Amino acid sequence: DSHIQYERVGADVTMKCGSMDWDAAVTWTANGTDIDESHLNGSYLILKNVDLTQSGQYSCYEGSSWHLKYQTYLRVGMPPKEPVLMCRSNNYPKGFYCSWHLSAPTYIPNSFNISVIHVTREMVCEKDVFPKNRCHIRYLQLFSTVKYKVTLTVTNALGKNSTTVTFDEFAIVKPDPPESVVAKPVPNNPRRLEVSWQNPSSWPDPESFPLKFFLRYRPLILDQWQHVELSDGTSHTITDAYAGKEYIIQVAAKDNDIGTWSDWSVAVHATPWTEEPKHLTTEAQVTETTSASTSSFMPPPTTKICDKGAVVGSGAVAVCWTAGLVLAAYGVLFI
Amino acid sequence: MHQLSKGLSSPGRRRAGSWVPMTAAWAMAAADSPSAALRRRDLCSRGIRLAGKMRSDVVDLLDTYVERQGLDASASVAAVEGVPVAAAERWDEQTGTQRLLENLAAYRAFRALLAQMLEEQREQLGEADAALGRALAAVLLQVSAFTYHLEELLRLESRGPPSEEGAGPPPLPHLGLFERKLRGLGVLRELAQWAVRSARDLRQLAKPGPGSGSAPSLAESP
Repeated sequence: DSHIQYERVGADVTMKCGSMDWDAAVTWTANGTDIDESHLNGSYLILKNVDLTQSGQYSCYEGSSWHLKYQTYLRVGMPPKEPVLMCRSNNYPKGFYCSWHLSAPTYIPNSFNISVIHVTREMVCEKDVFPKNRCHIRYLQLFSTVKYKVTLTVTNALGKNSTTVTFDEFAIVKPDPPESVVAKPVPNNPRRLEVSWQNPSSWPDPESFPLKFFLRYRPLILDQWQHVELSDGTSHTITDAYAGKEYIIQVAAKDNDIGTWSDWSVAVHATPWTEEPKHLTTEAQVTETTSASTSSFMPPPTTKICDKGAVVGSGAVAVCWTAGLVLAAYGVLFI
Repeated sequence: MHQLSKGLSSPGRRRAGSWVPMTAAWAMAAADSPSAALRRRDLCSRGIRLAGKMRSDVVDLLDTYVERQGLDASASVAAVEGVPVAAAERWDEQTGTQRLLENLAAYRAFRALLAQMLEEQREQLGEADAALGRALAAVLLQVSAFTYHLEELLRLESRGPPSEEGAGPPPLPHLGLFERKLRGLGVLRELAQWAVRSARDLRQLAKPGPGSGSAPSLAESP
């Protein structure tokens, strides 16, 4: 008979050759390869301090006839450590889901059992087809002050372990990030970027359970983010962008009243509108030139290259000098 | 309480007691009129803002209360008789009128409970903890204002608010000091939940369409 035998890493394993006597002449194989007699005690196979590499099919044959007398599949593994469990509601007020994983592999099959208790009621957590380590629960009550208690037990052939989390209905509410984030330049506005996004599709009723949003943006060349919190609407115009600089923009969402912020959305990139061809000027010199010029003169877009702190480096200073000379020449022409 | 309610009405509004009695038919027509719809939406949005402010102040009051009363913030408090429980089953299936009636009953009860807590706190601590007393009084004022708001919304729904039953919360069994403190914790926790629920209820109510307050069914699979 062939069967499966589970043993713990580091254990000493003794295999008997079925009903054969201890002093019978036998040959053991592991995955079809003969095992050296040094591992035998009579007809018993002795494996000391087993490790994962020793998992496999073990067969015992009668000495002279080579009849198969015993076969087993040895699976070396570990009992489960305490699992990691988290619960979250990204579709409030419909329900919430719980997902789990093991902090270390066991190398053998595990089964999971989850129980959800609220007040005195045990609620059904329906297992998801994918991913396998997740289940979801429908809320039977809303606005309860009674905490939920969720216990996950993981069991395998070598042992079991469990963990429990308790939480308020409001505390686990965390929407998915906003979707379809788009950032576009605004024509003829060198310092503006128009950002729009959509509510996460998993949020079932944004009209009754509105979300608020947090937008962050920075030019690629800087590390520091600017932040804007928006209590309604799914668009915003950035008005203080550095002209000509590529920006990275992200948005997060939160229920207006409860729970925590979502993760940041996928980042989008955009550069504010610039006039073609690009001119390098300072703001002060544009004003000077404009006041001396005819009404048809269009001041070139401002760049921030010459502004203090916008760009660090001696290259920026050289650009400022050059720009200054060019505009001084322009100014002389128009006076 | 009535004086408080009067003081909070917007300028030029008639006092609640001077409304002319209406026939049912006229009331139905009035409730459906554009001006009634606008008034309802206005009351709902103001009510939502009031509920938001109230919740924020109750959460702050909870912190103060727990600290001043020497309680453990994570202590479980069993449901206490007379404290309106915010938890609702089939919340999404409630009609607008049901929402208003449940809210009104709750806030009338909280009004009386908070008044009681304020009195007990003054007896217990006297002037030693004026900050807690002021915070309780401020929340009581907001609860009164919200109650009035709900009464106005019910009038718009062409069913006047039910009369207040009795003179206050049911008489309490004699509670020791610690039990009273725990009860107060329970009152404030439920009030914080109610403030969130009320904002949601009013948003449902503010939705256009017949039977305002009927939300998409939660029975659909996620």
